[in-house]
Amino acid sequence: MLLSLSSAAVEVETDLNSIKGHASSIEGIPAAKELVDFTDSVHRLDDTLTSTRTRLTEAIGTEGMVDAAIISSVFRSLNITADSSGIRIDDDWETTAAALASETGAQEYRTLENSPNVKSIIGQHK
Amino acid sequence: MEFHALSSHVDKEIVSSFKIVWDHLGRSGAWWTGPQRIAIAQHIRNSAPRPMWDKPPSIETLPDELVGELTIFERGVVERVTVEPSSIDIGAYQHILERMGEDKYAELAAIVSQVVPIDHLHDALGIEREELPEAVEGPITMERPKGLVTNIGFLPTLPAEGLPHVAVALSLSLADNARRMLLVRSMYSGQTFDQMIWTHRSLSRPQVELVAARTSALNECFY
Repeated sequence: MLLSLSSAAVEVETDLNSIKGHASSIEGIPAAKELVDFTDSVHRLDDTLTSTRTRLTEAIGTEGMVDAAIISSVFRSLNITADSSGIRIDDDWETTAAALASETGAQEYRTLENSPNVKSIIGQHK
Repeated sequence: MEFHALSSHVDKEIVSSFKIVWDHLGRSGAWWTGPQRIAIAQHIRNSAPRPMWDKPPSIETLPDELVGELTIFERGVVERVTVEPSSIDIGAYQHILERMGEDKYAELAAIVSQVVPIDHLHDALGIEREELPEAVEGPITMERPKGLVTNIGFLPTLPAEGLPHVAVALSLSLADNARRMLLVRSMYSGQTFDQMIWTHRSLSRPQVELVAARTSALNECFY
């Protein structure tokens, strides 16, 4: 949701398929492919990390790369918080979350079960 | 000095929030002792995603046999929260509730939520992780906040009162949740969360949200 809103605020159209890692659909956000590749490497902590870190640094500088590492880290924490505690989507966001779920593929996640109202809205629109 | 290697890469507010977490990590919490909290932190570090053919045993099968400061079951819960939190459904939670209780589980999850981003940032930057602090003996506080509600997630929480649910998700563990939120504010939300255009970071807001959304997709976190 915030990806859509923040992109719109700077008049950039973003295909939400970008969060599924489809490089061809990431346009309008500078260094989007390098950011996604680095995020994937950080998630896996595998032997691609050094090269994706280097490429991201070349694309947006060291401070940008560090910023991306910070965001990836804090969001891993937020994901753990949300899923370990089974919290549901906030009331104000339910309709938007349901609308975005199919664009992002998130309706396939088991954790949708934690937000029954959202699941119901998605079911009504199938 | 703690976090010396990291301090040349990130701003002071982040380092300060990390130090606060580290200062309290080894001290007794509400329900886990200092040595148990450090054992939890060590087991977080021992937990890594397993390949498809080596899935961990179901936590229901894990015994209550003590190994060091934690039981095998407690270590299993630490591992599950650390590497597969999206697999914790209501059934798994109820099993944890029966054997561990909600207070200890909330504190355990809050410890994981604090240690993981600190270690993860070091790993992402290729910096050696900070040594865990020493455990400090002392009584647990048995703190349990008042005014809890049960309509936000599995655990009782403080009411959201305008805050996002994720801000109060682990508030049953009041002090650790507060320290967790210090990390979130210093690393992400800051003072300008509601603004869609950010100029105070190296990344633009859309770039930030791209990384955030991709991370959440990889962890299959619907929230």
